[in-house]
Amino acid sequence: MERALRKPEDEHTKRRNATCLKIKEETHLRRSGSSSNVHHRNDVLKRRSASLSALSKIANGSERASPRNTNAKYNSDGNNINVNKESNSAMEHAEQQKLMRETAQELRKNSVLLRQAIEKEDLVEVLARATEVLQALRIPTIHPRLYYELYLAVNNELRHLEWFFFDQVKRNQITALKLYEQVQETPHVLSRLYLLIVAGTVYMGVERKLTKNILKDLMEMCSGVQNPMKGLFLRGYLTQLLRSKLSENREDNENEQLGITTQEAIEFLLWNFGEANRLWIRMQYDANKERLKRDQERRQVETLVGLNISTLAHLSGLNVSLYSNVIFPTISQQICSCHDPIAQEYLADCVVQAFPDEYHLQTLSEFLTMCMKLIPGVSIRQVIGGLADRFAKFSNISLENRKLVEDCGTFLAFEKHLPSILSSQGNSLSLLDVLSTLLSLTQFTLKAYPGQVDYIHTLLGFAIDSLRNSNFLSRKAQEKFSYQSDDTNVGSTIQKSLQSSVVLEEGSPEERLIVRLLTSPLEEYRSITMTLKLGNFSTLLSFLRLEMQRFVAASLLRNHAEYRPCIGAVETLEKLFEFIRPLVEESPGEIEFIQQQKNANSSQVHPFHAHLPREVVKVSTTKVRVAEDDSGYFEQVQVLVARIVYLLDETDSSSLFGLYRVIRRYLYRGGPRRTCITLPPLTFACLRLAHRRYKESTLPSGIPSTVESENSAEHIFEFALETLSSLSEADAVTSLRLYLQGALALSQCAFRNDTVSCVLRCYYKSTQIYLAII
Amino acid sequence: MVLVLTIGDLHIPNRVAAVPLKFRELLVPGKIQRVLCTGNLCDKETEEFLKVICPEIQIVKGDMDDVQSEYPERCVTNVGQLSFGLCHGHQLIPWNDPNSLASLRRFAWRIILFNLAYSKHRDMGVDVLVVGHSHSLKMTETVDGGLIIDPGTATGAPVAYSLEPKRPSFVLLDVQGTKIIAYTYEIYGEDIKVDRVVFERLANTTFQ
Repeated sequence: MERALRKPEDEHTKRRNATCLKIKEETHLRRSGSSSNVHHRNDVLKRRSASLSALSKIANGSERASPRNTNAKYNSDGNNINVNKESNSAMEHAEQQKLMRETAQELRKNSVLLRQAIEKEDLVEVLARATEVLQALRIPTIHPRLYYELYLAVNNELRHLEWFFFDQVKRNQITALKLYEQVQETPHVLSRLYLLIVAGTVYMGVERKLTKNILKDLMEMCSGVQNPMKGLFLRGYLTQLLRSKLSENREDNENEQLGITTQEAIEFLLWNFGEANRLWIRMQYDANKERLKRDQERRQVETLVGLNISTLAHLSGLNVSLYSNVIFPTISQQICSCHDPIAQEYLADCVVQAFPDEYHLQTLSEFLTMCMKLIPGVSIRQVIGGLADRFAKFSNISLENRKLVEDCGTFLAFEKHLPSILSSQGNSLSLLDVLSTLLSLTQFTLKAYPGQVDYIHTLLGFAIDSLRNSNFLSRKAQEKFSYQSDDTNVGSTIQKSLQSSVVLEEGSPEERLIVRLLTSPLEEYRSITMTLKLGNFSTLLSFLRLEMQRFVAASLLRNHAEYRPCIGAVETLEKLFEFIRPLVEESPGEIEFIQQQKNANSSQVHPFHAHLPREVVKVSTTKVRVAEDDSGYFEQVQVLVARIVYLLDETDSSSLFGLYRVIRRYLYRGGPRRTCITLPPLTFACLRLAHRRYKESTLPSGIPSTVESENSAEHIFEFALETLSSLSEADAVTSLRLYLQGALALSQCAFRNDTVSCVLRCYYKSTQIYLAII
Repeated sequence: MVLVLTIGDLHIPNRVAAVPLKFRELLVPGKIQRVLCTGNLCDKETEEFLKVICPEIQIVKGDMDDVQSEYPERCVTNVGQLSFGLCHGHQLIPWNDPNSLASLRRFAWRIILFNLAYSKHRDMGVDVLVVGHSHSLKMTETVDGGLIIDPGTATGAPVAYSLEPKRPSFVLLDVQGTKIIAYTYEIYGEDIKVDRVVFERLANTTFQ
């Protein structure tokens, strides 16, 4: 049995050379000879030239007058255009549906007949039935979605046919060559080519050495179909059949399985890709349909072109050098030359998604150079953002991956090319696109370069530039600015427009993107000191409205791991307060609001406090509270500010007091509404420090107690009492409690005479406040 | 078997920044059935934190809690066959005194004598009294078979009169009928020290 199986193969190998020549002859013959074929070929050529001339006509801006489109011509006057178009498209739709139904019915009937013929193993009848089945794909113009349904159904039948052919050849009922020839007698081009592809793949499976020739032949023949949609589907079918064969073409078989090298396979696929792409782009010149509809239809068949790229990516034996030397240059050239935003965007995205990350890392510079050449209107966000997202995932997997990313100089390449890519897009690039691209890059950089604050700084700088340069000024804002410039001096207006040339609408996606640009480093670093190194942070922050500034500043404070002490120098502390200034300072609108509330409160008990006993309400009039919707959130955020005290490095008690003074200076700016939350922790910390200083000074080995020194315990007590007296205006109860605590703490220290007076003052103050409360 | 968490004197943010990470890793939702908090949370966020651990929660008012908060001064609740009294403890005069604590648990005579302001309060009459304010973990069995638990401070907040940082601690009670197994958690430097103490037969005998 085995021998019997092997025998024909041996025969084939003997006759290999002869067959090779034969097939060439055959193709030659077929092209010039056989009468029916000639007829079809001429037909095709005619059509091709017609479509070419149509192409040039469109390029010149003239309308293509097609006999099919006579209706449209009649309707092209007056106001009825839209109405007619609508009714036209509705009619068209109904017609297409009807056509589709009929074709599908026919197809079902023919498929049953085909299967019966296959069961009977009657080759001639099978071929005839298959041709009938394939008739369905010759349907006149139809919507791509409907055509795709037909294609799928036919595809299913062709699988049976392929199996049948293979079985026939295997059982020596017919030789593969004979089959290949016989199939070519099918009358119609499209049906013939589909059958030829099926027969060709069977032939390839048997005669491995001929694969290259067969492929070349098929590829050339496929050019015979010049209807863009039908051609695309045909080429899609070819790729689909080759796909499994090529990806199984294993190296360990020394490429013998298919008889072609990976290099050759790549060439074929690139060729097919080029042709398919050309057909796809030609779809946009179908003047019968309006642009939007055409674009929609093109989007629906894009996968047929992309299939080539993904097949390339799945080729066995593919490696980086093949990709960077052969595949990428060709694809990139194809992409650049096609001058069509939909195609460029889709194909670039396909390349990004199909090939492995390692390949992209090696060819990043070339890829970005290609991006520079993309025509305006291509969604850079999708292409570059997609690439950055992939890299982010890639470098998140392992440390080795991260190292690879670093070694390839990935960020530097992005940094180098990004400005020119953005500027090459010009005005067609919206702020939203730029920002979301930058966000993807930021997230990638954070993952791949965890310690590189400079890189994030650069990216934030790009965001600032794009905000400043963008022509995003809404008309309203422009009016406002011009109105302002009437009475104020021009300089300040320019300053203002420089600072925030973009008016971000409340809750707009741009605003959200900026917030995420700012917060994603915070979430990744979880360290305030790292964030403070981001010089561009506060500049970018100033583009947001106040609420969002506060939100970002709060997340800066929130994203610090475990309140680990990290601030030791006054400069660092001041910088932190600069970063979170919106949280610390009272805004003008807020002061007004509080004033109003106060006025309202003076006449009647505020409803917010109505449920409380009388004395408490009395207290709350001294303690300024604003019953806002977000008062819970406000308190939460101010607690974060209050906790800054715990971020200070406490090892050196002498420098600590200086830091406390800085904190108080900034906290005082917040007004009573904030200080009643932010001051108590500071005061308590001061009391503790004073106690600590006192104990240090009493130690025999300690620093000799210099009462006059800036950091002496007495001074710190004084400072704490000062703070308390200012707190008593904002929150009487808390300050009363803290006065009592202060008195307790003071009594622990045996100061000289003035201590007693200090303690007495504490008690005096607290009694005063207590009396005021009661 | 009911797991009851006793915790208190957190003083966030006025004296410390947050609950230690080690405790936060332990105190996760879904394990504890009751929380008794002795007060001095000082912060809404901390209250939320405790409520997340277990929504079944009793909080009493401490001396540093917001005057406007709605926590009661003291409360009594039952867990299994035992009654629990909860009070912050700063109201007692003298505070942190074993006798005054014992009588708070049982009768209120002493309190009435010393401070008329508290005469309106009856004795709590409970088997187990949970108090705070001292910031140091303590569990004492009274002569009449009652139990007084001070879970200490969960954050290691210093006390006003000494200003020294304290040891963070809380107590987890496993109540089984009239028996209580108390697990004490304390942070020593980098480590958590857990102790297990069993109190047998705590049935209320004071009212007979």
